[in-house]
Amino acid sequence: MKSLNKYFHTFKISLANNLVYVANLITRNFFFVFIIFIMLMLWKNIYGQKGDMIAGFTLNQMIWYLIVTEMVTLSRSNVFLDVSEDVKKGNIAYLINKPYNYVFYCFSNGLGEIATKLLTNMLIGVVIGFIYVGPLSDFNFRHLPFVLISLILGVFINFFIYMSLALSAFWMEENTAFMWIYSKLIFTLGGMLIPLEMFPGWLEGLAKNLPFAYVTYGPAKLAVSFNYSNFIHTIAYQLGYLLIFILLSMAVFRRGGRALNVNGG
Amino acid sequence: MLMEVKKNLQLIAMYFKFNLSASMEYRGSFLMQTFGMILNNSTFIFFWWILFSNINTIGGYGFKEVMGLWAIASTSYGLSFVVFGNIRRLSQMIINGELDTYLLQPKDVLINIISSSTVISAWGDIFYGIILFIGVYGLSPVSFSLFILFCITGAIMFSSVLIFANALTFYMGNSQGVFNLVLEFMITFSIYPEGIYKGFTKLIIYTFLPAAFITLFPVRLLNAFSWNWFILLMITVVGWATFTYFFFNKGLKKYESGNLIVTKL
Repeated sequence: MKSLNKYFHTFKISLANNLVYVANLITRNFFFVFIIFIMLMLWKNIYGQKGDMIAGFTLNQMIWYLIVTEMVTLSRSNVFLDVSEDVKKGNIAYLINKPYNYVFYCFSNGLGEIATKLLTNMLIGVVIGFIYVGPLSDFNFRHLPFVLISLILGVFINFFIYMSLALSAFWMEENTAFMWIYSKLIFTLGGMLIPLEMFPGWLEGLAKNLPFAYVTYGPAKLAVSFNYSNFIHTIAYQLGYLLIFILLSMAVFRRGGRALNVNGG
Repeated sequence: MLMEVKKNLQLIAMYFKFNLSASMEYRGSFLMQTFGMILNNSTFIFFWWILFSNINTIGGYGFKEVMGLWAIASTSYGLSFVVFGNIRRLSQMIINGELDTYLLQPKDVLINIISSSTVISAWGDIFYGIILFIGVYGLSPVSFSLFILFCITGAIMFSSVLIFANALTFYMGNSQGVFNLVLEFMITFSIYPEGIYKGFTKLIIYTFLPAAFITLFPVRLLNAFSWNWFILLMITVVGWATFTYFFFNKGLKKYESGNLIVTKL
């Protein structure tokens, strides 16, 4: 337990650093308010033609679904760019000889940023949800802790996927294309803008087995139509994928560390 | 007056040639950024494909018309930033007192400033729009010529509004925040079907944030050409460009030089 203290202190420092800019974060979230407003107009028009229910979602549920997916994606830390820069500029040489695991150091450091962003996004998301479509229908506050667990796991999976991709900088000078491609996979197969139920059957089946769905779709679906069997199914997938990407980022780091060539000081 | 226009067009052409050859110096990076942007934009086709497989029309638009919006928006945006790349940093240049060198040169200040830089990834937006348009509308000479014309008017309109947002810096201090918001609003408003906008929002896209004249009007003209609408579009574009030009030059009188020493190569 004592060995975890260093990570906890890193998290505390990172949280304090990020809390200084909380007002700035809230004003930056204007984009969140705007994009959900556009989505509201788009879906209102679609529901106006198709009726009250599309793919098992009412308009109220659809907007809340989109609010939750945006909450997760907008709460990502800057880990990709930070780690890529550390590797490319050679700062990594000063970070890997410290008495901590670099991957977990980055995680505890990113956690402060994630926590601040997630809290402000949740606050703004709830406010705009109430203003745009009213309270989420049939929501039971007893389910809230379960939804939060899934939401946090989604944010964590997102972090470790970015971490694994960022560490590719050990071998590649220009690796930002990976970040673009991954963010678009979240956008599409992750159901960030459209619930997977609207996909053609074959694609829905495929997407529901891929990790991207458990970053955004999983928590959002639980938030708008909770049931315990879906919760267990989602959490099992999330824990599985989280473990896979933690191990993957550690393995990539270990291999990359061996390929590291430091010149000068 | 006509000689002035001709001289400015020559200046823009010279800068364009110079910027293009500078971009091609790093051919690998140029190609990667261009194709990356094409790939990035392509994911939106997926979004609309899924939506239109569930519904026939949205706000009076079918899949083809929405792709038309995307094609014009993308190429217009790309043209703006390839030809007038300094638009994105104009506020910062005013704040930092970087306009001194331009004021000393015997060329039109605004055209000289905005044309003297380019954004490489914006080439991807230009190509994406052209490929998308040909893929959806075919290669009919009339519609393709209209498309090219509308991309040029769209680029002028888009640039005018962004220069206006930047020029506010002369009057109210740093307007980079306003510029970022206007950029976000203009792009988003121009890529969704007109029918989803109602009331106040519709008023805004025809006045303060004239996204309607970048894509919505042109797509209407591509589907059913009308000289009245066409003339209205041209008057609006020329009107906005003229207004912005005078607004910038009036603001320029308030410009205060800094003591920053810069080298312009």
